[in-house]
Amino acid sequence: MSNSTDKPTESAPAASSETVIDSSNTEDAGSGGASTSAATVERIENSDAKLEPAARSLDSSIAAADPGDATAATPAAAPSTTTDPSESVHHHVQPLPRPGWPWALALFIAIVAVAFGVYCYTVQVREGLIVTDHRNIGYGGAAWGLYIAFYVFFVGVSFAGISVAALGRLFNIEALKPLARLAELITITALLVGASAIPIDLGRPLDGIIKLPRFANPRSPFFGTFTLVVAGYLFSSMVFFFLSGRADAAATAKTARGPLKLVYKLWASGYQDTPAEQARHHRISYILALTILPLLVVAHSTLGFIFGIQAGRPGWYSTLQAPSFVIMAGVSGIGMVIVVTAAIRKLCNLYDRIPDASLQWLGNLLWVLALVYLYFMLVEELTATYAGPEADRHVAHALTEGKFAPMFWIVVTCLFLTFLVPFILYLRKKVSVRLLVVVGLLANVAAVLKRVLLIVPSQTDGAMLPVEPPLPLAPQWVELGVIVGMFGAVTALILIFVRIFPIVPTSHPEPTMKPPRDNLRAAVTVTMMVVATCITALGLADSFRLFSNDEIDPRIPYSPVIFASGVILLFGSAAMYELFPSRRVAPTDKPVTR
Amino acid sequence: MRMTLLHRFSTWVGRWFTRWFGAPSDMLVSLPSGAPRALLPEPVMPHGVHVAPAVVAPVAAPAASAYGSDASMLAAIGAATPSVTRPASVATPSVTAAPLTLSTIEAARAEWMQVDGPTLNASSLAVVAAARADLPSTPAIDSVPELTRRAMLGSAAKAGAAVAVVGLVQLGRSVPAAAAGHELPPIGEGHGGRRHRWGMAIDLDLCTACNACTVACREENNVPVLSPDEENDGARPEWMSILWREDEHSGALPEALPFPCQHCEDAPCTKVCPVGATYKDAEGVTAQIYDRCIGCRYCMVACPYGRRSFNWREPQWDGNLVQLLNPDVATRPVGVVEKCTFCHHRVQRAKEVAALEDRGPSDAEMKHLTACSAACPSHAITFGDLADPTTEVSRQHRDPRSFRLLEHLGTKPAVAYLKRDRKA
Repeated sequence: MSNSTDKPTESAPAASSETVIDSSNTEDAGSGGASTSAATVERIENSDAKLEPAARSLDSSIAAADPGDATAATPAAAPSTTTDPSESVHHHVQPLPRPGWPWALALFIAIVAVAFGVYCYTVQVREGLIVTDHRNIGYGGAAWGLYIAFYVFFVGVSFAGISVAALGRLFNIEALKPLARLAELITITALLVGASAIPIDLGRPLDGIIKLPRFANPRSPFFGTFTLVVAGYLFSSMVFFFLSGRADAAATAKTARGPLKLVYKLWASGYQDTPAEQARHHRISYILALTILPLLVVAHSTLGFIFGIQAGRPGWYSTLQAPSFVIMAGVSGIGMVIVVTAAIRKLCNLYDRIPDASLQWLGNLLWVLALVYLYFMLVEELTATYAGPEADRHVAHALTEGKFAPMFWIVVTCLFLTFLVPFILYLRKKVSVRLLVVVGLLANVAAVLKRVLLIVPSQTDGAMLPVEPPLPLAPQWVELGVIVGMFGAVTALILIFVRIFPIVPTSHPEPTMKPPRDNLRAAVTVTMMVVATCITALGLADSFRLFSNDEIDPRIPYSPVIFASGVILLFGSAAMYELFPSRRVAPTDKPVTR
Repeated sequence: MRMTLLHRFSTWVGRWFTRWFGAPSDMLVSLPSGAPRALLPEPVMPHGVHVAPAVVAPVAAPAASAYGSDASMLAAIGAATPSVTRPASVATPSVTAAPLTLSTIEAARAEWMQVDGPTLNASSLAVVAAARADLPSTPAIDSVPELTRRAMLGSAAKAGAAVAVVGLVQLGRSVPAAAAGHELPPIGEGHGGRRHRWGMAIDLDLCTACNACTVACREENNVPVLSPDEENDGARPEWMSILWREDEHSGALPEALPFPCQHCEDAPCTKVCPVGATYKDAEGVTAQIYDRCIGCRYCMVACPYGRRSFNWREPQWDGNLVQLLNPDVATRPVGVVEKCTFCHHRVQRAKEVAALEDRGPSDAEMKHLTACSAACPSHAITFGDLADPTTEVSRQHRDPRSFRLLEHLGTKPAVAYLKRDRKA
């Protein structure tokens, strides 16, 4: 009880110190202060626009978002202008796009692709994995093939999504903010589809779904991808996505009709867009972004370790594998974000909300990453070719001048163009969305082929013993169909989401205050974090078989699940912090004037 | 002082890191000799579901003694009767909460047979079968033989019943030692607490590349035979094959290396298995639990020797081939990885027979025990206990001519080759 009595006295000075400047400014101008300040902002923007025509769209989008800012600031500055308390939320509503027949056609094609993929998978389940081009290693085949390549690809694509959102938040990059939600959406859909590639690749998928959560061993590099990527990475992205979408969900719920209204309301989960909530979200999204970026590196390194620590496979065994997976994920992911953003912008006519400058920013990031990756490839090939062990040299030669040479040089060309075109655009300070889209596609072609080139040759051609020569293998229609289905699933999910939810987040102003002190909320969150950490540690330790007395199974059944749920709870505590109900109306909702 | 602490701390961290991520095999697979195993049947067994009569009928018909049903069951599924003769007087040891060794399973089983008479108790047997499947050192018999499943399912039995019956059949294999009142050494231990470490030596001087070993292995271990269609190229499982090595400069004839799983002491395949389906057992065998395997094929890509095969399609035995299947070895379903087991079932049998005489298996018994070495006309392949320095295989491992494949990887194979000396 003492908390609630302390709260106003403690939080009021903090809040008022933030708003002092505003109120002192408006004191002179009186009630018309807000409008004059808005006018000056517009004037400045107009002059900016004249100076730099290339960046005009960016400025106009800021200007479009500005009235929202103004209203958010008005309750503090001039309370008499706002009559309806819900006005601040209502103002943010952006009309959902009404895309026409191209959208419907694209969705139709995507759904047909998914259906075809499902059919292909049933064929595979019926016949066994013989329908793929995978064969035994040592008999000229590769035990892993396209499925693993596309698993890596989709998880790689997810990189860029969340990194764009997190970078935009962390370094406050205005150009990235309109892309944040679309990027997160790409992350989540790509991760879901990528995760589904694992059971698709398994010989016994149902057994896998039961046994992986039950017995998964952290000593296997696969553990990280099962638990860390799926639980940690996917769930943290979802929390980030959910929390940053609450404001728009609340706004959309006000105008929505039908069953979706309930979804919006659930998503908003009582969001009122009060300054306190804004401040809390500002803080939480910063912390989440700070957490997600390292997690990103860890997750993609784990993916690289699947290959990089296998001493028995020449061409895989390399310290460069983990970092190059991180970089390649960035290349393909950012390429994908550019392509998807441009497509969605065209389909939904969002030119006024997604400026060219955002894409240009991504283009700049893209050429840097592509350059780094080219450097990695050079180092890798040189190390393997110069005086490497015989089998390494054999694989490297199969790549550069053997039967994989066409694919290899396509990859190099694509990557070089991925570097060159945005680099020239950067040097000449030009924006060409069309070129950037082409480059984004090239980057993804390179990413797919490079993964195939990584996975297949070192199995077929990388034997260290004189086993049987490579078989003439080619991807089979079943595999290709399943992969088409995966792409269809990603596309369909994105298209549907774009139709039902504002894809460009409403830009929020910097909150005018710190989050009000709320001891109970903090205590609950911290408790949850501590509990989650303990659960994580317990699950991990038992997954390592530390308690199982040298037996093969973990002592607690399903301890990998315990680990994963600990990670999920840990990120869930961020949601807890924001969703925890305020016990009374925060005093900062009322204007503080002097 | 601070340096010492720092040093001690870093050593501690390093040791744990090594233990978690790169554990030497013996540290992780050493099995507790006395620790109770999971799912040990309690003295009082649940009497619940009974097997459908269609299944029971062949089993129950001539049940003279508790073990009599075994023979009839084996006959019913078209398999051979156990080759080891059973003593006439069958002692029935009482069940205690002892470690789940073969003898305790036997004892428990004998008791139920008396309680339930000829009728099998499906649920309780399924419990044993499950316990049995979790035993790490019996890789070959852990999954349901396809043959049995087909035979049983044909008569409208439940899959669980089939599992139960198979569990019983497998238990029936270890009758003699328990029945005569001889205690089998605990799993992972040899006679008198000694620990075996099985290994193999292959003398390339003696090998004539006749392929008898590959055929014998295929026959012994029910390795599926796929049609010669082109789509099956590279998809045929093979446990033992011949590796041809050629020296392009000397002009000598190419060299033939019989090429089984190398049973590496530090096996890369066991480290990567996400579910622990493959592991080093206590006697040095790189074992595979088919029931546990999910078919991710990570072990295949991790194996530098390429000695693991995947069941890319449902194995099929046409016509009379079914009759030729070895009942001692489980067949593998589609979607799992399979590999050489060092003829684990034969080793197990040899140990049991030796235990009847209160001794460990002798080198003479083991030397040509595995199917490949038994079939080798020139005795090029020698099997045996590497932990015993007096065995033939140990001597060959120490031979100056001996080498191991891909020694530089540090996998420490248990298979050594003796370099070819003869000029051919």
